[in-house]
Amino acid sequence: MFELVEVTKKYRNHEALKQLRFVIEPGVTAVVGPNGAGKTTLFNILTGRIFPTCGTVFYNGQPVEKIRGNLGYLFEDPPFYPYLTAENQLGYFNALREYPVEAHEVERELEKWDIPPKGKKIKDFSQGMRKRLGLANAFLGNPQIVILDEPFNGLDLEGQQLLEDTFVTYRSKDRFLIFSSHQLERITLLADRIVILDQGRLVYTGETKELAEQATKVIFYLPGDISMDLLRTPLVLEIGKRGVWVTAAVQKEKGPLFLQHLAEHGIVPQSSRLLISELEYVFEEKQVSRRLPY
Amino acid sequence: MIGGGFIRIIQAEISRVLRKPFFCVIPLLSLIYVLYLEIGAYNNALAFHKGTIELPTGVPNPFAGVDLSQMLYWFRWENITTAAGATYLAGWVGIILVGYVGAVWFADDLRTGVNKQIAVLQKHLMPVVVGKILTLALYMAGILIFIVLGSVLTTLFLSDVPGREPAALLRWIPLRNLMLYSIIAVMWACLAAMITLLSRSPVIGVAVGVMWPFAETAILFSGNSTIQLLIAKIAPISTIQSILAFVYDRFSWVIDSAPVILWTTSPPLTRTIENGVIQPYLLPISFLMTALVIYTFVAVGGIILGYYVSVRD
Repeated sequence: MFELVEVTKKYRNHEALKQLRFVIEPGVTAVVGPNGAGKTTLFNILTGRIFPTCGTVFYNGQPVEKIRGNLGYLFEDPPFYPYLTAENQLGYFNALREYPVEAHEVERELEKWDIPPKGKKIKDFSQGMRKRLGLANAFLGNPQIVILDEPFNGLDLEGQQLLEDTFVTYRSKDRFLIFSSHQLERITLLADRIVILDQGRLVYTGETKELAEQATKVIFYLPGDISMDLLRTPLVLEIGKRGVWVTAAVQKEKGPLFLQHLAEHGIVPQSSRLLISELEYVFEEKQVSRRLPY
Repeated sequence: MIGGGFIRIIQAEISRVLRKPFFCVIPLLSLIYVLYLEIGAYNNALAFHKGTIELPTGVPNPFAGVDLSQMLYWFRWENITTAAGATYLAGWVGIILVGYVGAVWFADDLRTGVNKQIAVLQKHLMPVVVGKILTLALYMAGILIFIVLGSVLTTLFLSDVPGREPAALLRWIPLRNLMLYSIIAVMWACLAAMITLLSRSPVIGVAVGVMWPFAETAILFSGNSTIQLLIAKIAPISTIQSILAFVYDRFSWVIDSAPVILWTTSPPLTRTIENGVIQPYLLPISFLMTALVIYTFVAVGGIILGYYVSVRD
């Protein structure tokens, strides 16, 4: 497992990670958080490419730098030489690997991700095709540890399905797949565990299933000028603000009653989202967010 | 990772470099530059020999009565390696091209972020960086060999060139000089590459690689202060020029008191003041080689440091 012990990462102007202390067990782990939460910095530290300012990261008891060269990594914007073809590029990366694989495995990986190996230079690739090539590079050689930064961004439906199928193979006791995504519905389906970061701090870590089970509420999005008195009812568990909307959290079973309560006062929820992903609600709840006084 | 790993990395780098059009254009430009001067020198030699060259009124033909084969001394195959390589490196175009290549060699890694991907794929960066440097060295040597071969082949079309002996190309002096030229080119390219990596800016690397020769020459030729004379002894372009003068073994630029049409001339920047008169002079070759080696090692060290730093955020 990965173990982070008081990991802090400071850059010149800000602190990207603040005293993180948690473990990552084998299986599929999702790391979520808003932009700037520190997800990419965390990943770079897990790969051993950059070092924390303070604290240590261990992998199975050893400093994480020792696993460098023995894992797959997908950058959010995968880097390539633009003048190479996919076959040349993957072959180049393979040649520079700590543990290169046979040439036929390179061809097989390109075929799996449906990437044109020859003829077309990478500078002419679409964003989705670049992402596929990055994924091919990350999964080349079937590494035990794979870290993917926003892997679903830019992928078409077929690519997403292919990636999801690959995730399944990492749900095992001795393999790690760590990824970040803003698509919380997908996280609920794919991840065994979830780590939530916000402004460099750990907000939550645990099994996705447990987290989802905690969420039994529905959020209503109401006009921003709604009277607070109207919301002071036992039906409403929590009031918040999201953008121009006022949010009201209600027990799922009490949803129809609350709607009736609103209707009696001529209020119609502005948003059509009567039921959102349970994980998204808990995610919002777990983040440091603005809350209105009840 | 020893042996096989190195070879694998160098093969991968060669494969990458050959696929970038820029690195295929540079050797061609280099050859065109040298051939332009070669053919120009040949035509000048013929014109002087025949007396058809236009000279200012009252100026006698300095080569009147000189045997043509002597005027074409540097075209002989035993000498052409020396002349072609020195032409390339003594002139602005050549040294600038070398500096440009060095600055650009690692630029793609920085610009695209491939260096960071490599740092994830490979625990030991040293073999990768050294492999890239070795490939740069091979490329530089390749350019010089290409220039020499092109110059040799060109002489087949220059009817009066004497001494076309293939075996002469493989004598110790031409091979030694080719090796020296390669080291010079590698040194200058690596210095430019070092600037690119340490500044994390290909623009700065190119600016230094291209403009430094002008700047150094201008500074050293602008005066004869003690500091300028001292700097001239150790500055990189000055060192290169002095080594080129050494390989020509021709400090006064004549052979046996008979003037010779030289392909290129570039007096050394090192000089001394004797009795109030400025005299160029050559430092001992051992000193020059030591300086060359030190510059190369510093550049290589700077490249390694720069690459390691570049992969960290």
